[in-house]
Amino acid sequence: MEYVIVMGSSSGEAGLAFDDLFASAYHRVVGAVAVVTGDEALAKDAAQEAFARAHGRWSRVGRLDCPDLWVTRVALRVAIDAWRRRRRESPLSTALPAAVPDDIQRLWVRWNLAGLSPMQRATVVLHHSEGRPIADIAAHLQRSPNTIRTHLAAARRRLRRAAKEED
Amino acid sequence: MDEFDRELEEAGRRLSPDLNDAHRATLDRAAGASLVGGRVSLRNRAAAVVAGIAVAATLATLLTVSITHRTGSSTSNGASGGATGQEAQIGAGNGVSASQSISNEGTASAQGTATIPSPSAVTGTQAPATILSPKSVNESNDGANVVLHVGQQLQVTLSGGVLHWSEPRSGNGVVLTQLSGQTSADGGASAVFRAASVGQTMVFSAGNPACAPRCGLPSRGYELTVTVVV
Repeated sequence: MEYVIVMGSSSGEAGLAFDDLFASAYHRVVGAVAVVTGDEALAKDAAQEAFARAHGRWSRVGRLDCPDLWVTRVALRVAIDAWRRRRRESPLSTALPAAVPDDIQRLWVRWNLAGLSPMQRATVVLHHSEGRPIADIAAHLQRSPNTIRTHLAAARRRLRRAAKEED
Repeated sequence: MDEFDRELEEAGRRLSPDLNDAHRATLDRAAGASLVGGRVSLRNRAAAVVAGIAVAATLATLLTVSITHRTGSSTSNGASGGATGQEAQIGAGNGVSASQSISNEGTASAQGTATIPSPSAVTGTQAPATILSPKSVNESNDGANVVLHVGQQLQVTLSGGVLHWSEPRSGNGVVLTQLSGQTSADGGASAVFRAASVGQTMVFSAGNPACAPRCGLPSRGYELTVTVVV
């Protein structure tokens, strides 16, 4: 009883196969979620959950122009939902995870993301890395467009400040 | 891909270097979601219809076996250790009838080697094989309908090799409670279940090629439809 993927055959009439997408996008999705949350385990978990959802809807997702963006957005939403749940259940744990991986800390410093909240980082990643319009980001992060604009403005202020300091 | 994306990918690669493991875990998760999730795929809907037909067929079979016992036309030779097959006409809901050999619980050998028809031979519009009260099943029984009485145990054993099986899971722990389960280094997996209450559920395991996803070999799902009766 085969239920998945022979290379190039599970994608329906158009698009790529699930395995191809997984092989080409998994690491970037994990990286994106890790940069947003600073949490290695959550990043892997959210990425796998997002790919599993894509697998379950592959007849539709596989036909998208950029299924990797769909997976990234779902993974970020899964991760942020988990982060929110954690914050509700244990307010003291809203601080960053005890051990943010060195690779992620390096990226935070390099891209001036260190002082941002996970929501702000998600906004930056979706808006700048993937070029998503604000309305899209607001819908996917379940926030109002104004909140997303505020996050972006805060992130830009930080970037400008950091640029001045470097000068 | 711009520089930021490249750095994200490199970070992800360092955080989760084993793509095969991640792929396997993702497919396991997807398989689990298709069992318990609210969204039901067309394939699963079709499977549900087939399962419904199978339940009706099973009940008819039970009735037939029961009547046969009462009229004394069946001889149970459990003492000799042999298994006696009984022919039963199973009427499917769509009008298709299938003749299947069904082993009676009382005629299984002392070693528990009940005769189990291979479902792999079942194709087209025929109902999946129905297995009454088996002690154990393996990968050759993929797709079968298993009927257990409350209190009976069922061992599912899947051999490893090309495929790495996930631990077989029950779709409903109230109907079919998992007593134990394990996977082995060679890709094999096994689990023991107990029929806990009347109802129907599925047992599922995902078999992923050890070389996936690079080799492009297909994964397999292993499914049993388990009906628990009094």
